[in-house]
Amino acid sequence: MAAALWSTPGLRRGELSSLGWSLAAHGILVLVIAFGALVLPRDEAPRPLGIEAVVLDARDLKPARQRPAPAPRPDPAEQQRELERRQAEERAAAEQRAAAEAERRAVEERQAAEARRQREQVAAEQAVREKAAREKAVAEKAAAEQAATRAAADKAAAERAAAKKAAAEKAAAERAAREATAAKAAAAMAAKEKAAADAKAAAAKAAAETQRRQAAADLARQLAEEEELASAAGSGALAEYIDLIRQKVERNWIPPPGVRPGLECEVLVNQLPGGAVGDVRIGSCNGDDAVRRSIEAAVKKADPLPLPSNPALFERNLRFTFKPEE
Amino acid sequence: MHTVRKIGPVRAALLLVGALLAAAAVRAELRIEINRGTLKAQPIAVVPFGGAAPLDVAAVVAADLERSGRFEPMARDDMLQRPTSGAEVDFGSWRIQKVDVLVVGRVVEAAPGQFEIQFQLFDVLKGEQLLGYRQASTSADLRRNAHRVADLIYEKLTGIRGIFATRIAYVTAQRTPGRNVYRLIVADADGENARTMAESAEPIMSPAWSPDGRKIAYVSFESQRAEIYVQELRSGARQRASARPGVNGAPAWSPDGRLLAVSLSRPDGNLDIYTLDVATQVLTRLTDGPAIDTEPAFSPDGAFIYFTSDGSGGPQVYRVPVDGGRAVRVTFEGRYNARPRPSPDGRLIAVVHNDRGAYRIATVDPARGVTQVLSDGRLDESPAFAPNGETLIYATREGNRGVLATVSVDGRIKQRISVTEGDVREPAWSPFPAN
Repeated sequence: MAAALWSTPGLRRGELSSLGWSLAAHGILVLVIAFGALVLPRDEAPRPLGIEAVVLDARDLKPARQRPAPAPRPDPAEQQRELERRQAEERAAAEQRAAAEAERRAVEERQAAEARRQREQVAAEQAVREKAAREKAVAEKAAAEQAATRAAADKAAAERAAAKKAAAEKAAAERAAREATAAKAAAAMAAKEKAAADAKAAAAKAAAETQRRQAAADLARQLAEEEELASAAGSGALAEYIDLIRQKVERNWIPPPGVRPGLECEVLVNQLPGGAVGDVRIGSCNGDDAVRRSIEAAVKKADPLPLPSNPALFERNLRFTFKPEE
Repeated sequence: MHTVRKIGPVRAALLLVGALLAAAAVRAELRIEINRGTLKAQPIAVVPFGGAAPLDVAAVVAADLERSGRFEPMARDDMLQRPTSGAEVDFGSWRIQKVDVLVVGRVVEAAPGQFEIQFQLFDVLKGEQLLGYRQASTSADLRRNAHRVADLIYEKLTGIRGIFATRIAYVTAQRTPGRNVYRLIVADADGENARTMAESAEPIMSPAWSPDGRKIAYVSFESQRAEIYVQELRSGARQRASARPGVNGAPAWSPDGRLLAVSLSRPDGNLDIYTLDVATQVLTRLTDGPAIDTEPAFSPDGAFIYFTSDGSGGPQVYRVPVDGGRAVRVTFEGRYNARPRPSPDGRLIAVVHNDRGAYRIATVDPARGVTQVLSDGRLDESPAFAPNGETLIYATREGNRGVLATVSVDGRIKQRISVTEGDVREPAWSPFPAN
């Protein structure tokens, strides 16, 4: 009943074993997911810093380069010279033609002043106009530039935002994709693990089943063989085999003249599958050296030993008993 | 034949994930009982010995081994290699030629007329040396020493002492009109080297070797009646051991060589068994009665004398204690069992047994009451054991003359010993030679 005793703990051990495999598989799955979470990047955006820096530089640098020069201011040296000349003319008019001159000078002065004033006014106006225009232009330009800048900024911002958004989306998408991939991979791995574990378990189960079946088959075959042997033995095939060997050895045994009834010698012989005689060992023997030698020679000369008609009857180990009759 | 196949009970254990099925059958083995061997002789190769000797030593050795019936020496023409020392032996090649054992050697002339026989015996199947020997020999002794080499090989391979260097004695009769010649011959066990010990115009009978192998007792009718003589082999000197009135016949030595068992008719004319102390001439009567008691032989332990008696009608073997006592019948199978000769181990008795009208050599095992007929002639006679108890020699008829034959104690191996001249009878096998 050794089989029954052994099979129960065997099964329990088997179940434990498959449970262990399952636990191990799940553990590996959990580990894989956890590890994936640790390793894979989460919300981190891509790094578009390079692009942003270029945009910012352009904005900062362009207005600085295109800022207009400031309007020219009146020269102090010329103003001094103008003043001296007017003082001299006033002195001369005062001396000669004091009045006329003064008059004319006054007129001239006035005219000149007027003209100057007008010139200056025109110039001033012009300057103002130019300045205004310039300023206007500058302003416009600035405004335009500002607008442009703003627009650019807006655009950049928009772009950045878009980029960011895109990046974020992309990152998200990528992350999602990665996560999806990871998840997929993990799932696949898990599935694979599970499949492997399942397969292994199934294989083990199958192997166990096969072995169980094999064992049963072996048992059955062995029983069948033994039955066959027994029936072969019963049917005379074994007796025939033994008789073939016996006859060949007897044909080759030249008993020394000293052999008498009462002699009994055992010889253990190993035969190889083809019937070739291998080891020959004399066991218990009450014969002398000549008898032992004759027995050994008989077995060796019987090489190769006859084979049975039914190969199942072949037996490697032979035990001869040399026991001459009267 | 009991053959048992051990089929182990199945012990299967079912284990789960990662565990293996342990279905272990008990280490099985096939049991096979071998109850008999082959009658085939063991293949051996005795390679011609190297060196220049006046005798082909290897040929003598091979012939001895072949004659034993236990070995089948390879023909020289079949030898692919002719090594003369172990270092030159290629075992694989001999194995392919189905040789079990191999003898190689050489005869070295150490001095003029002085030789040394060197030989090695190898187990070809295992590729190992079983024997390595040097035997000094004069030129004249080469044949005898070649037999000794064969003895050593035989003993190593069979576990039984060889008998190739032993000798046989036998009687020949040449009958020609007007003149008969009887001879006592001693020859090597293979029939070679025959020498005449005694020659007579009158019958010579019943030669018997002394236990030391130096003397032969025999019956001679040279004085017109049966007298017992003991003759030394070496000197040829002989003495008349018993020439009492009546028949003096069938001498047999006691194991200690002191006594001869004899069959004497004494004055009453009836043959009885006596022991005769050869030195003191003291005669001791062991059987008495109306039966004809003859052909005595000592048991190997010297305690009993077997003999033939017709006390029960036909001839049967009886046994009587040497120290005196009642004779006991030993053989019961068949109506004719005569001329008992116990085996060296005392277990068997060789007899001439009438087997359905034919006189044949048989052994009787008194303890088990078993008779085994060994020969197959019609008038076989005079069995004698070789000193190793493995072979018996006897006389048989070939045409109208007697020849010598041997048979193994199991009856399997029969050989003829070629003796060229005359009618050959009454062989006796010598004891082992003294070394």
